Amino acid sequence: MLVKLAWRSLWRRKRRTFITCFTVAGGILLSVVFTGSGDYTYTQIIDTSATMGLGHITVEPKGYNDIPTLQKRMKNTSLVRETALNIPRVTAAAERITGMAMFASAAKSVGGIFFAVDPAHETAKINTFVRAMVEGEMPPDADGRKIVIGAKMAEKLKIGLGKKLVYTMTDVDGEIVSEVGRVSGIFKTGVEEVDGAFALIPINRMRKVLKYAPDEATMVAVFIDDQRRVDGVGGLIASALGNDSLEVLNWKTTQKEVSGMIKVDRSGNYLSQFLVGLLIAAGILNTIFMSVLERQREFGVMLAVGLKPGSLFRLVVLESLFIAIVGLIMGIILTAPFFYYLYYQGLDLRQFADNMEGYAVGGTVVDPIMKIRLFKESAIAILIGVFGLTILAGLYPAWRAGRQAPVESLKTI
Amino acid sequence: MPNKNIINAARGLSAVILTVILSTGAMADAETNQEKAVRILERVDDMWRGESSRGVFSMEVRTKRYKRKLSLEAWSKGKDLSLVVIKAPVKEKGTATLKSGTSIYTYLPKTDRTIRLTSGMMMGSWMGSHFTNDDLVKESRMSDDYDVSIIFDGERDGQMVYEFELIPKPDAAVVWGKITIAVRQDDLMPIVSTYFDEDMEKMRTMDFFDIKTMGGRKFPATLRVTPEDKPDEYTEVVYHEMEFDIPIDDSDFSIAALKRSK
Amino acid sequence: MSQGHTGKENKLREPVQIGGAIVRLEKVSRVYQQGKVEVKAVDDLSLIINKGEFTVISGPSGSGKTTTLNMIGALDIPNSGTVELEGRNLGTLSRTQLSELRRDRIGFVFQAYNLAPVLTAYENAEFVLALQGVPAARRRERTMKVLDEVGLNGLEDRRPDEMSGGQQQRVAIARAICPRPAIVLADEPTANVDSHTAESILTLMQQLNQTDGITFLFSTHDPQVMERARRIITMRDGKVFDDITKSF
Ligand SMILES: Nc1ncnc2c1ncn2[C@@H]1O[C@H](COP(=O)(O)OP(=O)(O)OP(=O)(O)O)[C@@H](O)[C@H]1O
Ligand SMILES: [Mg+2]
Repeated sequence: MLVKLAWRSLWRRKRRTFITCFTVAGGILLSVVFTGSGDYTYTQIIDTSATMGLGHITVEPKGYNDIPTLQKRMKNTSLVRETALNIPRVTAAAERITGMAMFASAAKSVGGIFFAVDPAHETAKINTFVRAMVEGEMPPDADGRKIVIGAKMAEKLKIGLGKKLVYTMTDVDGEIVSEVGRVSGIFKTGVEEVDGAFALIPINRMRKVLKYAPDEATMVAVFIDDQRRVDGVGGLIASALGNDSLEVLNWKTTQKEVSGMIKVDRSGNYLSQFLVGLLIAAGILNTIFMSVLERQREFGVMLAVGLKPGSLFRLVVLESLFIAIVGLIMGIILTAPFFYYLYYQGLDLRQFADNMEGYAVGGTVVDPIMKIRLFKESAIAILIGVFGLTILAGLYPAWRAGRQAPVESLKTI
Repeated sequence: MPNKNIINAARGLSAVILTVILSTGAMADAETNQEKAVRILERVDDMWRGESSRGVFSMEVRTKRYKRKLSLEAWSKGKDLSLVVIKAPVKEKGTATLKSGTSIYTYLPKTDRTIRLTSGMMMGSWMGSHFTNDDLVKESRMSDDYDVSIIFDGERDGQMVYEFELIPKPDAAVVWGKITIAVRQDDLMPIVSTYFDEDMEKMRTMDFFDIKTMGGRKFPATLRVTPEDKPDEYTEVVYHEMEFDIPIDDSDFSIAALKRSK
Repeated sequence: MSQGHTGKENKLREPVQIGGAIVRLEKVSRVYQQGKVEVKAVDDLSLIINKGEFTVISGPSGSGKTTTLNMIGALDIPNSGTVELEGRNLGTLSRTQLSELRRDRIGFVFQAYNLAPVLTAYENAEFVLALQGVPAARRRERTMKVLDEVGLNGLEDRRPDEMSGGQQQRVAIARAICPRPAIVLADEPTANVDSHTAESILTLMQQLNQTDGITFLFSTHDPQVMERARRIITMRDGKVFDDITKSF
């Protein structure tokens, strides 16, 4: 009875209700696009950032993250790698040495960051630089002198494929050491700071130069299938390793700029969504409040003939619930084409800004195509938000309706 | 080689010179072209080698943006130790650079701080000049890093010269593709050395002139480095005083000594 | 309003057989605050309505008719005095109990806009039964029968805005009598309909009074209503001014 009454009352003012439901639908569209692009972009940034050297999860010597130096190194890296690979959800793992070096050619010298890697373990999937290779190829083995540098660095050093450069850094004893490398590949991510600073060097060669033992490195970078699971998987790896001298960190700690940026962006995103939600809730409140005021007499009669005030309260809340449901359905219909387009096609942000071949967030290369993905938990959050706000908006009018004494209500026309 | 003594004189300053010239002087036996080249370079080198040295020199740096002149005093002992202290201008007086093995320290008297140069600073300019910090440290012997040969033996500009060609060995941590050095035959004074990249493109030139005798030895008192891509720029070093085989202690080449030098 | 013997207030305060009284007001006063002025809408009123009566409260506008009816109907609460319905003192009941009392024992017919506009005639009529939680089948049976009685056969699915004023009032009457109340309180039920319609509504109510024994209490100025009433209570300034029971 209440349901029938609520549903029909809602549609007495078709246009008003429709507009209200439409604002809810619009809110859902906004929410889905905002949250969905966030879910997609953040995942993309996190995944890309992970492929820029450190992985989703990093196993490294204790204290390395605070003060990274080439002196801090871990042993048995291949065993650590094997251990990590045996953990569920781990898709790849790679031993790496990373540090700062000076790269010099006859023309110039530039400061940069090297990743010493085992080419056998590096794939396009886990390594941005492999993915972004535009000339040449990865070094054929872990021992040779072939190296891969960014296009910008090559340009600055005025060298190309097959040319040599000398890299200089400090070894484990603090001695300054140099080695010659030959460019076997050049990558171009489109982000100048990245293309100008990074280099891949075969790990065994680097071990010799740095006077590392053959099974030592500064880290093992671990990749997983879903970035949201880093804490759980990281815990599993830590307990599987059971080694106090090692630390298992994830991108939230190792890539502070990225996680900070995501945090800021996400809270901005949530805040704007919340404000939009409040506006919509105010609209719903207005609609329901008006309809409650219009129906004072009707409510008075119903209270007089024995409807309990609590039922009247529920009736009004039910009406806002219906607005939420109808709004949700309209929202789904409204959002579906956008979602579909953004899911498969994506929006090419380059059309809005010139000179955006690639752009970087916290030093991470980001795909300029904005796509959309919606995590289950985000969808649930949106649903809770829609229903929560709508019902919240109905509470005050409902309370007002239930509080009114029948005699008073009967007086109004 | 002529430079060895310069190096000895102010080791650390002109690593370039060092690198090029000094290193050449290691071996000499048979009479292939290569062996002859090495032999000559080594003999030149031996002539100037001192156990220790002290020198006073000035350095003029000229770039597009500025021109500045420094007065410096330098000490050296063996191959591994050297110390350079700025005497003038007053603003930088007391700033010192200590080279000990492969490490370089800079002492700044104003803040009383000693900085150890990291690998990242190695390719930075030394005191704003066209020398890099790395130039100062480079200690590898020429013959380890280069294959040496004589490519010219005859008269040029009215004097008899040898021209050496130094080709880096494939594994040598050397950025150059080739270095050539011209040396006077009569007294083995260097005239010019030229640095090329792998495409045999000229990158930088070092000219030597103003041959003088100081501290009992004869060597070019002026050397000038000119980068090829900026022909208006140069760094010129002029030696004013030189002493060799003077008594000097290892402990004078320490961080404590850096501070004392103030 | 014609002949009959006058029942003065003091007379009415004499003990009556308990079984006979359905409504009993004792020294009831209701004071409204209108700005700074106090208005005594009902002033020290004592009154008894017996089972099966078909009674009208009349009187000039503002004399307190509606206020009296509202207090009997547990919609309004007196400032002093007691209101009893079927022997129960309404002043001792909670809000919920009052709500249930209205639902189960009292039928209301108001002047206008009696119905829920979004419900059909049938749904409006069964509304109270639904509130009572009467099972659907029994509800349907009862509602159809009452709609038939009030002459709305075939109009079950009409919405209020698709019916005339008289038809709407019939629906209101149907809703009032469906739960078999002890008393129906009708505040000017004919004020918004033409005299012909009024006639038929009154006939219907009279029939219900006679056949089902439902007590009817009206508030009205309408002579048509007074003609049919057996007892006419005239109010003035919140007091009973006259109380006539016709003898046929
Ligand atoms: N809620 C209220 N607040 C203030 N005064 C009220 C209120 N309800 C009724 N009154 C006053 O009480 C008095 C009695 O009102 P009531 O409605 O009972 O009169 P009535 O006899 O029904 O009049 P009418 O024939 O016009 O319907 C009037 O003076 C009215 O103005
Ligand atoms: Mg009235």
